Amino acid sequence: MMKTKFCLSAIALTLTLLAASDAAAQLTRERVVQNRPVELTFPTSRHIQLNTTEPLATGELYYSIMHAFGTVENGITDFWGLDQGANIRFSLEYGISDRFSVFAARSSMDKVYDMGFRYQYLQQMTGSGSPVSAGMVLTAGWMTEDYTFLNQTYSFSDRNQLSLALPVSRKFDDRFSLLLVPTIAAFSRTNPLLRIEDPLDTDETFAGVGMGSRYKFTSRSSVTVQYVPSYRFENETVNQNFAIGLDMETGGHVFQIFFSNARALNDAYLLAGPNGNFPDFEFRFGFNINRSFQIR
Amino acid sequence: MLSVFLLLCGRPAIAQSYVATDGYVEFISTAPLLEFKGTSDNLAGFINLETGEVDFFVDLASLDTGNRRRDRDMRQIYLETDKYPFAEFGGKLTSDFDPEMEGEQTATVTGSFKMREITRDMTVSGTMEATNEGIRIRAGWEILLEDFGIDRPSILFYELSDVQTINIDILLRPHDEN
Repeated sequence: MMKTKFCLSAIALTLTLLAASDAAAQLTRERVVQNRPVELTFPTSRHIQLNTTEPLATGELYYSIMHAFGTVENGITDFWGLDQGANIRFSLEYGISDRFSVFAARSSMDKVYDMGFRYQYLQQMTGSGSPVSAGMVLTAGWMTEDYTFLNQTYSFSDRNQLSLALPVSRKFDDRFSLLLVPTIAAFSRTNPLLRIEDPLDTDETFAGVGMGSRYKFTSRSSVTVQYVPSYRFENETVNQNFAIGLDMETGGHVFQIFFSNARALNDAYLLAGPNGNFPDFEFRFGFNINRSFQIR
Repeated sequence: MLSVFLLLCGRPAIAQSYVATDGYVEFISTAPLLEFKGTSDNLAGFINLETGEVDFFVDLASLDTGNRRRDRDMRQIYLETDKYPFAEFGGKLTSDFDPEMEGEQTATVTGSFKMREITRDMTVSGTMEATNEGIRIRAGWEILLEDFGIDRPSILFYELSDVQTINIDILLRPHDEN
């Protein structure tokens, strides 16, 4: 009896070993790196008019051209704002490292030249690590518009502007990403006759928390929204910017079309510039073209 | 006695198995305006000379094209590696292989290539060579991206080819030494 039991056990053990060797016919699928950076939370460094946390790669040259036309309120009379001419901002940005890049840009509204840097200091990971990505964008700008019509003297020191944006983002899944952009901007001088909404001619500092999100409905297309409430310190008022758009990724290019109640295309003007009322059709059509080149 | 016999029968099957996880694989895209390749040194492979079974796979996220922006697009937009991490080829060796013979021997494997949960049957030809360390396998074949549900944007078709040439080079070592 004992002998039979031993034999049965031995046969069972042997069959198990044979089964194990058969199982090796397919290797166990294991990923090379389990904890990976979460990539393309947003397809480019811009989300409508806000900065994102998306860094450039080392040696990447990123070119963007942004447009915001006139308001659509007059309808076909001025072809829904397209006849009014656009505020156009074109910028070049270069990746010094995978986290740090520098840029220079020019906006046609008030003929603003600006330059600055972008630094990503937190990277969202798929596993353990940071649950969000975070960065900072510091921009210094100079208005070069000829203000002789104001019958006032504008020196170089009157034309400066500075803004700091601190974008934080999280990609929740393949489709949905969220962006928060605390931003502060300061102007060396404002004027109610300029395109900075300042009826009392007192504001010089503006702050706000931009909010943006995107929802991918195909692998290369997303619906985007943006909301930027901005606070004017001296006036103690809040201005509301709102935009809705569509992102289309084509690999090398990212096309963004949107409707926004702001004409601003850089951070400082996005906080300080006037915003129209959406219900009164005081919003405008705009689009961005983003392109990346690897040059090193 | 039966148990010992079965065990002895089983042992040569293990000795006939060879595996590796450090093989080389490249995906070459040759488009009119641009040729580039994504490479990885993380190809895993297995062959059982007794049964002829072969199995290869690579973590697609480990492919490096030398361009970080392109790598990100490749992982996130085209291959969707978070959802479909592996490219796999499995099948059976249909040609003879003599491990005692020196030099490269022509080898043919009939099986299936799987990517993004889509499987396509194919026959792959290459060479096998018995070396002091194990068995070196080199092979190459072509796939079409559209066969695996990868939709190239029309504006980019001059930069990304639908035809991808896949080449592998892997030294498989005896299973019991790994």
